[in-house]
Amino acid sequence: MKSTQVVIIGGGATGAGILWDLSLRGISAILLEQGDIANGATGRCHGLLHSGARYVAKDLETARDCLAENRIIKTIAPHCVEDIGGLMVQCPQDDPAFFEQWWRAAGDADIPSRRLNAEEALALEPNLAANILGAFTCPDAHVDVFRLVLANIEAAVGRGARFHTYSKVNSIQSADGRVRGVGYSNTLTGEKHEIACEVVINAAGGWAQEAAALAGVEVPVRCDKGTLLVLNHRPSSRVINRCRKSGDGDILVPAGPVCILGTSSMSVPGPDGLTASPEEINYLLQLGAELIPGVADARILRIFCGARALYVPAKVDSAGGREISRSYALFDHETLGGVGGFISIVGGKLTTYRLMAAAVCDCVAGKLGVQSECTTGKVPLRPVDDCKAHRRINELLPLPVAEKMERRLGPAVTRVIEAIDARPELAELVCECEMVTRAELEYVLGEASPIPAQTIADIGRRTRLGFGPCQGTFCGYRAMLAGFQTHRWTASQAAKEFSSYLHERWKGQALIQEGKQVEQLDLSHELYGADLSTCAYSGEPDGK
Amino acid sequence: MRQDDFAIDNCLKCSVCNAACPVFGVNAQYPGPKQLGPELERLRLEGISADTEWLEYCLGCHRCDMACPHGVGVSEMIAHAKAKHHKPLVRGLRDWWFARPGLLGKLTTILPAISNFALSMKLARFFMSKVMRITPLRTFPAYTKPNLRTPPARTSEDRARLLFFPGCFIRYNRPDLGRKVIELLERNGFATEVAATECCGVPAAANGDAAQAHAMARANVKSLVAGVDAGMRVVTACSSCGYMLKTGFGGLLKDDRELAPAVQKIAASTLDVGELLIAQSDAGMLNTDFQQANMRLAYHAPCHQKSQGIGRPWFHLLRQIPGITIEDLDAGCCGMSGTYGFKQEKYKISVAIGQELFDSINASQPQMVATECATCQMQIEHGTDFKAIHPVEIMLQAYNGKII
Repeated sequence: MKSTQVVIIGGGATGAGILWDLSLRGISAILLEQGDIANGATGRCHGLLHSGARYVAKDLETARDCLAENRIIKTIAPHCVEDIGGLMVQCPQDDPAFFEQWWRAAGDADIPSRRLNAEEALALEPNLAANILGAFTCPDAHVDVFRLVLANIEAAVGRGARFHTYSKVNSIQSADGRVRGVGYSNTLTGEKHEIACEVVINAAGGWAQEAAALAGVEVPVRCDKGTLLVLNHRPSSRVINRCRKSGDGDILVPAGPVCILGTSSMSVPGPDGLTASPEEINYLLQLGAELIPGVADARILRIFCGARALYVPAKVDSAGGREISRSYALFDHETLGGVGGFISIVGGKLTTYRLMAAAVCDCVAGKLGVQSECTTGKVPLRPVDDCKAHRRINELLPLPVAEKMERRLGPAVTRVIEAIDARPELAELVCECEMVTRAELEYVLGEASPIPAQTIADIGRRTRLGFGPCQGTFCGYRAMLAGFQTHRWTASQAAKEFSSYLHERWKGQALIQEGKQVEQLDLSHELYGADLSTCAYSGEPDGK
Repeated sequence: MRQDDFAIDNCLKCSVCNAACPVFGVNAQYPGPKQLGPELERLRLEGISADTEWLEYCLGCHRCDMACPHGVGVSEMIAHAKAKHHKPLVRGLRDWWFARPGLLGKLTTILPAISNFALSMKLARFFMSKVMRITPLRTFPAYTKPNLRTPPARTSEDRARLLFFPGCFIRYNRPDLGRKVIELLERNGFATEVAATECCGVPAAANGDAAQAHAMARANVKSLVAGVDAGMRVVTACSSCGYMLKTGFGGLLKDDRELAPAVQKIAASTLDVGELLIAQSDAGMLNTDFQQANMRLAYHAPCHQKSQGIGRPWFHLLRQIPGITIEDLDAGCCGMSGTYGFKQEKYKISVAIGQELFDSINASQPQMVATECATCQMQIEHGTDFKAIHPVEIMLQAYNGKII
């Protein structure tokens, strides 16, 4: 039986942050994730690195945390951040008193901001609605969530930590009132494993209650659904917030080549099986168009839902999702009369993941009697770029491809260079929208990468393959072939994998009612033999 | 939001543009119009440095635009990116000249004999090859005195008046062809005036010189607008000039509010000579006073003629001449694309693209090839042993009974 000091349940930003923090403190840990990295709320959000601007008027403490973390993450993980800045836009439909309230609060929170009149704001962002009254600047940014989680895990694995995807925890063993280990099974193969440990951390987000139940305890979490739309390209070059009391459809985040508009807020029983309704989508589009009119005609690539796992203190139990604080809560179940060595971390935001991890790790270190301080705020997640590799990759690949790959892979780019040097045909582009070469695809599928991709969707989370306009129609097929040709999958596994991948991609487009993506989906259906009227998939791709 | 910002949203990644691209067909390394256009455009908006040498290899043939079933406007995106592409000094200098055939024409035609001698000198060609990166394997068209003028009115009757946009090739290399155009039109009842215009701007756009293309477009619009306002139609005998007047000016000057109405009027009033005559033919008004001929022709439709969306007027006009048999080669792009084929680094690609056309001409064994575009003619004569001439010349010969 494997053994370690700490087992972490949940491979979102918080879990990954904890793994990295523990590895820096010299505490051994294994992270178990039931799906792939960033499978829950982390992978289903705007990717907004908050500057606190959104929270100043309501929750000064959260705003200050966000601002501090915003600065830290820009320093420790620059390769995950697009530091594009943001605007808080004043719309004529909104309460002008709030603008002044916001401006004062931003001053109190020390958020660096400039006041722009309508003309200045439109000069910066010409696609904004012509009737806006003005805007405030703020240091919002976009953070690539998959890359951020990967960066934390890769750094931790580099220091000896372990990480298992598709590993669902089924049991938590305890004796004498303390946890002694966990049992988990591989969701792809069904294999069962056990790990002996001293501490179990529940960072399962939306699944936190489920994980806590295994230890016989409860955590006060509520799931709140948010729906987001992915637009094909960026109508703005900055994060666009609507300057009003936080509401629906008031944030637009340029994220790489695409732009994400959201969200809605709706209480749901759990994080699984979420769908959006056509009304919800139209509502979001209508709100988005109030900020940027072109949004109404823009091409939507995909619609997805995520569940925020909000921490609900007993007294606000009846409030709606927007009223619940975005701050986090740490439960040391030992002090709460539960099982010893079991810690839950709930609530919080993507932006404050590092802060949450630090709080958890302080608690763990105390339990294990390790004298340590959190250093995650100072240690860069990725070593500085290798100049020699940088030059070589730019010789081997055209600029946009080289630049994209270098940002994604960092030092691992040397592996891709070796592969292309040995077999120049690997420079072929597999995903043309996101510039993914065959060499990069084979790298993330192979055992040389820290967390090898198991499915085509996993490849997407590591490379953005299939995230562009074709939504995997062409590149997904090529990825299937690559998996088969590199003996990652057998022919039937590859075919089955592609089929389920394609269905998942189709699902994300099925709710789009008009525009070019409907035609794109039609093309995909036609290519793979589905009947449009039923959307039933009938063809089996030939794995040979 | 600007409408053109949405053009990339139209792309369904179907690759029809790649299938239609002549360069992609002969060079597997070329990223193809889909990538250079809509795919990189998304990344350019993201702020990724998507500048690539391959942008220079786009022919500007517009076959991608014609093939695209969704109106992406691929070649315009490539042209924009090309204009921002950074070139090394020598190629930049060469392309500066290539972007200005009007200036080159004005200078060389001061003393045409000396210019032609210099252009054919081995030493000069050696210098051009080594320093200017211009292939020594091609010959330059000969320059002559630019003596194309509006002919004096020959009859007193009230004829429909046309404004002839000659373009640089006719103005500086073949003014005699210009006179033939005027004579042909006169035989069909038109009075033609030679417009005082500059280079159309296609070479400037093709060489990534957006400023020069804009300057040419503005100058030409200002020069043509009075005639068009007076009800005159503009005729062109060069398919690239025709494309520019009909479509190109609109793209170049779309932000120019002052000139936009004039651009639209000019576009709507411009006709290829063949287009004008086929309309006369359809109306039963074509002068069919042809002498009996005896000739086998092959016809090649230039890309910029195809992109005008006017069918193949010259193919149908020449067929009406008794004794002429004509085959439509339909063998793709010739690969010359104006100055492209003269560039040393692109010469091989240029000839490789033309191979399909050369093969089909060789298989057809005509007495002559008819095609409207001057650089298509150069490429055909370079790649085969057959002579290529403008259909205007053939038709005029048919009136004069000079065809064998």
